[in-house]
Amino acid sequence: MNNSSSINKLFGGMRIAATGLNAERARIDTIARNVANAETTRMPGTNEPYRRQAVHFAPIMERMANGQQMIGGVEVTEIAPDHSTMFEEIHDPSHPDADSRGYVKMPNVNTMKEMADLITAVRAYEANLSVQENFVRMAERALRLAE
Amino acid sequence: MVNGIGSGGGGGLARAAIEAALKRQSQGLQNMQNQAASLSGSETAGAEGGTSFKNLVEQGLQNVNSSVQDVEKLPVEVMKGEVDFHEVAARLKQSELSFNFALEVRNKFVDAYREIMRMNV
Repeated sequence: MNNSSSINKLFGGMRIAATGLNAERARIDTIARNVANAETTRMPGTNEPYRRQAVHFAPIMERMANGQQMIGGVEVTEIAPDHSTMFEEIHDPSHPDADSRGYVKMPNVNTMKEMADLITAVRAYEANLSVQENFVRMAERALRLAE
Repeated sequence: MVNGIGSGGGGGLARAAIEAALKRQSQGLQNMQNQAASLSGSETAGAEGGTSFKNLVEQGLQNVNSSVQDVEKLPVEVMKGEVDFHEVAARLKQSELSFNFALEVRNKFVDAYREIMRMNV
């Protein structure tokens, strides 16, 4: 959807809000991954439990007609593992992934925090949708002027 | 990513609705293009400039046409899971709006033409 026809330029606000929707969608997907794997104690190929993932956003730079750069929207640059928090160890000798002392490393996913993040992500998604709705409303109002 | 779409009767209904809307839009666009062509065919006096009225109308129609044709590929892309829900909605609305604007321009255009034809000489 990167054809720079004049129609897309006309619908600039709509396109920018669409990039915001894409980004928030990626954030919600990542939160879903974190919540689903909140109890995954061993990742394939490693001895570690699941490590929480975080989405990183960056602006999309667009080149204007006069050669200047302008911020045009948002994109997901990377979904990186979160190394800022430690794995929590719980004592459960019956667990298949328990070490010799009977301790199991649990993922550094805090479900409460993920839920709070989910709410902000959904609200941000709704905000972008609201931008689109109002863009359409503006265009329709302007059209009524010509009728 | 959008596995839910297209499975079951609801998806089929939505698809049929989208296709019907698209068909209606592209038919309307075809009519408009034909009318613009017949109207601009009789208009030769203003055509010597670089950007004549005829060129502007044609260019505008082509832009709207590409926007509508872009949406015609949408059902396939949705089935392939290449586009998201919000993308579908945004593109549908975008093509609908640009089509309505073009339609309004065309209406004014035809009105002006009729007004001139009705003039007593």
